[in-house]
Amino acid sequence: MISLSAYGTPAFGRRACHVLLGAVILTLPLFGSLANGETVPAQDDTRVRLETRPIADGAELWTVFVALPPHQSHKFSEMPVLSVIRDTLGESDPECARMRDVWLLTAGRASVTHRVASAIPFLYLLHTPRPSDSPEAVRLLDFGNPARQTEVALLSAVVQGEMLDPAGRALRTTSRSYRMNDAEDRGARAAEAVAALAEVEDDPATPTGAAGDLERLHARLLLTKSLFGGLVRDQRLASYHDRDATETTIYVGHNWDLLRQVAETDRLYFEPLSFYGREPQYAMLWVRRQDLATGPPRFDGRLLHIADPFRSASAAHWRGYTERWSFDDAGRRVDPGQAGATVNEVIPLALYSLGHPHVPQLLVNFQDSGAPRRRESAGQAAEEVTSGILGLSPITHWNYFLARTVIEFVRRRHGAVSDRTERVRAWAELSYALSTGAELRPGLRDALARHIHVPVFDEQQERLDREASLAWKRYERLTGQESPLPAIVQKRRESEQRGIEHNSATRFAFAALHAATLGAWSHRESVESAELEWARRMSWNRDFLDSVARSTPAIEVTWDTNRVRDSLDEVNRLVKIAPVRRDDISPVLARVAMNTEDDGIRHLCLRALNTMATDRSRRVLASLSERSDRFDCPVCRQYLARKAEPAGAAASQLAGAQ
Amino acid sequence: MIGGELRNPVRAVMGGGVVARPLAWNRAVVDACPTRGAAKPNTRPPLRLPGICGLLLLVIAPVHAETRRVVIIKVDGLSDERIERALHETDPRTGRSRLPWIQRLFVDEGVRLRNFYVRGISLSVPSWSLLDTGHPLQIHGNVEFDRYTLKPYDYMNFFPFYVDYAMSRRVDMPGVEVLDDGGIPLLLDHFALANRWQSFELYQRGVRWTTLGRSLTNRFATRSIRDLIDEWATGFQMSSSVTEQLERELIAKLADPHIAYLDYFTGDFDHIAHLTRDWPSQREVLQQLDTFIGRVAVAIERSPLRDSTVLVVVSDHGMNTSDDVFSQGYDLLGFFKSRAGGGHHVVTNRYPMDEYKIRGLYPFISEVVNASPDSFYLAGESKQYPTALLDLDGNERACVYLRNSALNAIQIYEQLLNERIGDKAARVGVARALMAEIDRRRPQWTSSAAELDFQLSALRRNIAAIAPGVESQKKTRWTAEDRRLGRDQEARRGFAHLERMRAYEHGYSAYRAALKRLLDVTEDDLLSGKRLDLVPQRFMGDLNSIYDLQNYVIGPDPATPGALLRIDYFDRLASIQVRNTVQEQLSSNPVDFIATRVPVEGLRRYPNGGESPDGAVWLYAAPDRQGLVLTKTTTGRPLFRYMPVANLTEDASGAIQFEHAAWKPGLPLHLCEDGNLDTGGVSREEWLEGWHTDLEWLRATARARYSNGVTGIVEEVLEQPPLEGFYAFTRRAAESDFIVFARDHWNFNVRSFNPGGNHGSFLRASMLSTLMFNGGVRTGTPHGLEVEQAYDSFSFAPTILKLLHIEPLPSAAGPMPGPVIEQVLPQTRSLPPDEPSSNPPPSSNAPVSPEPPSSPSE
Repeated sequence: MISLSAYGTPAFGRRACHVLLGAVILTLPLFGSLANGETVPAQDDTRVRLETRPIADGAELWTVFVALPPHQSHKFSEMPVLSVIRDTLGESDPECARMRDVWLLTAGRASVTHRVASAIPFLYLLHTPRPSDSPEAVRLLDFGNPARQTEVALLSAVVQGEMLDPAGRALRTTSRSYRMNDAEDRGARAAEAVAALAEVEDDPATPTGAAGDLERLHARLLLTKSLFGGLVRDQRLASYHDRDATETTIYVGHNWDLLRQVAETDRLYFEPLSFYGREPQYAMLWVRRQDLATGPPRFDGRLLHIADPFRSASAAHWRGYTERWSFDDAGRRVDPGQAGATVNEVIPLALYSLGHPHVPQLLVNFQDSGAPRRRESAGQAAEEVTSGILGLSPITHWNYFLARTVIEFVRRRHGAVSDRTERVRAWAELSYALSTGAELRPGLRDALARHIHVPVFDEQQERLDREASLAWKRYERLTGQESPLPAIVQKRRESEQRGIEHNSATRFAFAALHAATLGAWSHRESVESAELEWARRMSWNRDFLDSVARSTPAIEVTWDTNRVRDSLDEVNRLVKIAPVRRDDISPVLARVAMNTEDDGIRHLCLRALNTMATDRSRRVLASLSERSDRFDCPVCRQYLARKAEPAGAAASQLAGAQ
Repeated sequence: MIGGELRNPVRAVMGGGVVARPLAWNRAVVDACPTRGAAKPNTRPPLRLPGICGLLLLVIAPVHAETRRVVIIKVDGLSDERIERALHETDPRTGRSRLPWIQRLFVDEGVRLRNFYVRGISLSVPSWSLLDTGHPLQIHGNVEFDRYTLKPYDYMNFFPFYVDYAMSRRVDMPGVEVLDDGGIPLLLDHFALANRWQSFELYQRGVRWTTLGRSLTNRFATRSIRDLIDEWATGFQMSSSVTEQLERELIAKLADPHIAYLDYFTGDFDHIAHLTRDWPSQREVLQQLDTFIGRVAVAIERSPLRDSTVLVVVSDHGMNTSDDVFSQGYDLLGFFKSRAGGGHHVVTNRYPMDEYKIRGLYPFISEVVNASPDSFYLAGESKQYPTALLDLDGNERACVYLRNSALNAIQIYEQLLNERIGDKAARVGVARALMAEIDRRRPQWTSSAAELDFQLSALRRNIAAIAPGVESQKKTRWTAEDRRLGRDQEARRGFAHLERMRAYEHGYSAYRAALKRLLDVTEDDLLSGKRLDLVPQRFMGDLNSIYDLQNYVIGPDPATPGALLRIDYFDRLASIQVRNTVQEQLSSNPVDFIATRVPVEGLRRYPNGGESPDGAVWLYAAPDRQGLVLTKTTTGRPLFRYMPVANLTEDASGAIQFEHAAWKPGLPLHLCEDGNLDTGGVSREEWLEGWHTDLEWLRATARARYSNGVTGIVEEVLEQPPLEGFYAFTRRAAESDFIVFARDHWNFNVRSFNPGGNHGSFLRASMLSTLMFNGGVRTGTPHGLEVEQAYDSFSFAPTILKLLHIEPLPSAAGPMPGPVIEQVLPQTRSLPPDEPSSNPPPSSNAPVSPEPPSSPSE
């Protein structure tokens, strides 16, 4: 596996180790059962698969496995990359399922040494730490409680600004360095997880029922880069996922043609690269050796970020990786063996990520391998100097930040790749792609690996094997006899039950007490599976009906009405079983009733509102009864006439009569 | 618009003051339509205007059907093929079609045209002009340049329009101004100001500031805190604010029974399809459009005129987008700047790759001079002497304006004389060569000068006549009633018109002076030793002839003193090859063919000895693959013929020489090898050898690879019908020398990148548009009807007017040439009771309101 420590930061190196490497596959002497030489059975031709593994008490673990190219690993045919708990309460339908904790198996928890190293400013200029070899996988998030990430981030920012920054330069600098590295580390892990998920989503073998959950998980991971991303509601995840996918395709197309046109102008050769049969995500630029003597009159490298190869000593004296391509008389690349074709040597110049906004991102510069690393190191050093050592803040030093913003804007307008988050994402995706992609020519892959991180080239194979074995070890840790999963599932259910039993003020009080006693006291909640199931089903149907109502002004036109009726039947069944404690479905039912001309759907909505008999549902019924133009059938009038009844018994009777 | 008393003289300048030109439409429009006719404030009772309008627009409506309102949803760039694809997909989420509303309204309960094509060029500005007027093309590109003044007609730049509107300098988008000058009414103009509602679009009259203001406030006011947090975290999309506000206004206006015409423009699909070929991304936009159509349909259903309303979805062109191909750009700008392309300093209306320039942010830009580092003789003089103009919004085609080749030669000779290079004999030789160049052009320039003198004198007289009246209104205090009736806008329209006339007068006077200098110069002047300045700065001169373009002067020949370097642009462009073609589906030659007009008087060897054509367009793909598209009008509809030729050339005298060629594969438009060419049972060769009307060509080529290409190229390149007067002079001054068409999946966009797809060619994917109708029960619009018969843009406006029983307004371009789409017209069937009495219908069948609600300028 390729380590990305060339990227420059300790965190990046660590991520590289974990993540990339994780993605990498092992061939190494392993530990435990794997260490005994047990080879994981080879899978069929599938590139990626989703494994479902039961956990105790009605939950399951989804794990994404990625096949490993034989030339990268002769011991392992696949590698676990990502695992997620899916708590179904033992039911098979999606209404009861809840995704919870997500782990990236290719990354290990950072050791104390790593953490300390992350807090030392400028250390990355001197030293690239080894990746963590912890058998504990990194937990990326709790899908059931995404707001937690925002709370932690906000608290961290407050502590930094109010406590650490005023405490002196040393504390400020180290704490800021640590936070910066930690944030990048998390970003890179999320990016790798997203890359794996994207593959599974595209795989036709992925069960249809799982695709929606995977997309939402994908979106939630993307949102980890945003401070307030944890606050985004689940209903928005699908549209956010689709929008991100669209933006990515736009960037890819834009950069694809930009590079191709610039290559044409500069007399270079453009080669798009696709790693897993998907849209090309990367592109290479090459130069024909015989063209070096007769370059173009002007070389435009502004958007390429590479030196003019026609006037560069490194290109002229290139001794590294080359390929031999066939060309016709006009200099166009043709198939080998074509009549009249001549074979010439081509020299690789650079590899770009096409998925970066606005401009292709240079990932590998064959003429100057260290350039990307230097650029990143310089950027991070500048950040540490200004925010850490000098203590400049956007509020008190607004003029500095204003000037910096302007400069960044100007640089971006001139083609600079200035979004660090996106850069981290691109590096992580490349590492994942190189680790698991089978379609790249082996020689080229090695050349890319070599130029991504020159210092570790000699130990490349060893690192790959080691990191792959660690991924398996982490997977075993999650699923083995000492698996922490049952306890985690139980803890999450308790939390969920607490949300049902107590209002937010009470829950806040519990949390405050827990914090005040330094964790010595914790509120325990007994889990009632039936209640959980009821709440989940109600929540699922509420969200579904809400999306139905919001999607169209006439439901019967847009939706298969049987699906809507089924959901309303389920709601009616649920409200008969148990009283609604927190009524957040009445407005949804009202909206559904208003947005349809289908009497059956209207009746089901009104019946549910009658049955619930909450204050809110009565208000909703009263409001609906004023729209006699919309509800003028006898059945509707009967339902609406009972709007003032306090209990749901009569409504149930009426419903039964219907 | 100013009133009839003032407006007519202004019109006379553009429409008929110089050369006889029908003024009838001006009078009719001014009188008929209160939006355009409210001349002098408070000089006529407000109620009289709708009355007159009603009288003039009145037609007898069928007793059995009644359409009293039309709602037009204009979708840029949407082809029927995209709709068809989405309709056939089932949304796994809903269990229904991906486009359930289109399925219901137009497939199940409406009329859908499966073969509705662009007439002319598949570019937005020209194509919408056809749809919005029903008349032949007056505007031939998204941007045009005046050859004599370099004035850009930048039809797609909203920013200058909005600023000028705010400063009371203009009231209409540039395209509308051109059409107004030509006396060609918009479909919109058939409705009184009070009876219509228009969204923001290319052919827009007026600006509603309240829409912009409310779009911002409603963006936040209509959302919950949770919604705002979600948007904050996932990224605000402020661009949709205006769209949302326009939808709110449209739906609000549907509740007003006085509004008889509503149109709503969306460019979202065109935008996304340019950017990405990704079908799910395009489909997502289609689904949003479908949901929007559903909201509009429900609003219509709940409106007072629900039974008498026709909902129409129309698009201006299709999109050549494919799931497995990136559209590749070719830098035509770079070509013309290069030595191979002539080393031109090229003027464009935007910066190339403007997203990588700070200057690219400047929204008011309409002219950019792209200096060539390889200029042969004008190095460092790009600002003063640009020699090429390029339509940068080219997509699959590019319009190219080159400085007249003779001016290049004259300037090169002039430089030699000014630099005093060589001995006297050499200088005399150069001077004689220069004079020979002038003498060769003298007849043409003399004729141009005479015409220009005539036009300018008439223009000046008319400016003098209208200026006092127009300027006297500058200080008019408009009452609320005036504003409600649009009188302030009418006055402002008059100011804008006057300013345009003055600008023309100024620019063309300079052109006339330059001609005079050229015509007056003598050999003695050239050898007098004084510094010469014969070629004016920023001036393209007359159109190049085919001879000029085949022998275009690009610089002095360094090998032979006094000689000139010349290139053949047809050959040079057609032989462009690129190295980096990494997609198997694409040719390495980005140029499909080049089209330019042929002077019919030069076609001495016209075949068959038959009648001479009225016009001809030459299509060049290679020396042995060329075609002539000939057109003539005898009686009734114009006739067209495609004639394969080879090795066409023009000599210096203007005589055209060519060889007849046999039909063979590879000719421009690829007609003879096209299996989808429908000749109606007649043998292909026989059919292709004959003259056919535009409708016959349309139906024959509808499903061919190049749909409607033969008539389209004539529409784009030639004046249809021939124009007269000063307006015609200004339109001719905006003609390009030639048009370069891109091959399939190539494009010439150099402003940015359009890898998703493009349009602008005659390829069927680009030409196939969308047209669908759904009507209320009283409209008699058929249900569940798919029309396979081919129609083109000409049919849209007359069909809408026919549905509404409105006679077309008189137009300087004559009657609307397109046939009405008969299949859409009311079918006999029983009708429900009349509309609710609480919403009284207008006093006549014409959509006239006695109480206009508000002015669009709020």
